[in-house]
Amino acid sequence: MNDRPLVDKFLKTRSERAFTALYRAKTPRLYQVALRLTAHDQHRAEELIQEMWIIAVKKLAGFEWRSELMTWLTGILINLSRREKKQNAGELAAQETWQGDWVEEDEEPAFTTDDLEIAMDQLSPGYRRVVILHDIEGYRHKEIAAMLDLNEGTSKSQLHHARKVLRQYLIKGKDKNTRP
Amino acid sequence: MKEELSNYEKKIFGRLKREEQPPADLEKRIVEQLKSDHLITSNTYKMNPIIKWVAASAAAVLLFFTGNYMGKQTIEKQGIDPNRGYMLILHEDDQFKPGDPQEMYQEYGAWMQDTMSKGIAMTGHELKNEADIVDARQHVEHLDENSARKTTGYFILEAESLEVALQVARSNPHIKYGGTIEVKQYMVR
Repeated sequence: MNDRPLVDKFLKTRSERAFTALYRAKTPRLYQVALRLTAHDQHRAEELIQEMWIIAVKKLAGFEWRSELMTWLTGILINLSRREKKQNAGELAAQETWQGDWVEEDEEPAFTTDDLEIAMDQLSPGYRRVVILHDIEGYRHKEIAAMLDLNEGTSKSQLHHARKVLRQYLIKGKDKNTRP
Repeated sequence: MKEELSNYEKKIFGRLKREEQPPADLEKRIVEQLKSDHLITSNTYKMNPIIKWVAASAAAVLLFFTGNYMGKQTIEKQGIDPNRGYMLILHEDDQFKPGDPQEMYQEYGAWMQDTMSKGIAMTGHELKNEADIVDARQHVEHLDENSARKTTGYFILEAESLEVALQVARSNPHIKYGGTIEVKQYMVR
């Protein structure tokens, strides 16, 4: 989608109408990201979206279109959630380590989207972020590194570890569900 | 150790919802905060030419009903004679190129005064660019203001004939700026 007309109109008028057009075009996807970032804490997700738009409106005139608008907005959102989590719990949950056996290709567990959402909610914020950005939203490591101010290698490494832990949670979840 | 997602995992990731409609009041809260921080202006701050035109025409309406046409009542009070009823529906698409707001304001005002001076009573209003379309399944499709074709205003008028109503439509400044006007005659059974 070409977002320039929406942005140009907003910057030209600074009107409520132009803002709501922009808001409605972009927020449903960003809100879904915010819900996942907050492990489905709806109140916090709404706060993140509100803070994100306030910052975006302040900075939009300086946006240079070196990325898609959605990438830029997602970057603001991600960093707001990151700042909060840094304050609360530190990064990347170093305590999350892989302890189980790996599931080989031919013995993959069957899991649903609900199982996956639940497992992602259990990830540490840092792991969850990289899985959301890469495996759900489809950003490349280069883009993720730019958003999170990391180098690409760190992004790849985080994703590697995040997937391992995620699979562990999926197996645990499955075991729990299949226990008598 | 497996590093890449398996096909099965990719499939499940691919099925995750990509969008979630936020609560309706979130938009309102954000808009209110942006307004209070003076980061946006409210919709009524800059009037659309049609609103201006309707506002400007108040004086013309007064003149109309107190001047040569004293004794007649307004459409709002009396309603219109269905046998002489027409609706003008204003549409815009990417061909619509609005001009200078002040100039448009004056043009619309002059147009309305001119029309009413010919004994044609009318009312009208601007419509928001966006729309919500409800279908038989109770599904609501939202068309935002960037939709290709928009209905942006209407007028209801009393005219002697379809030809007169068409003439009123042809003379409306909306045409000059690239808009189109649909002229609909009242159905009388």
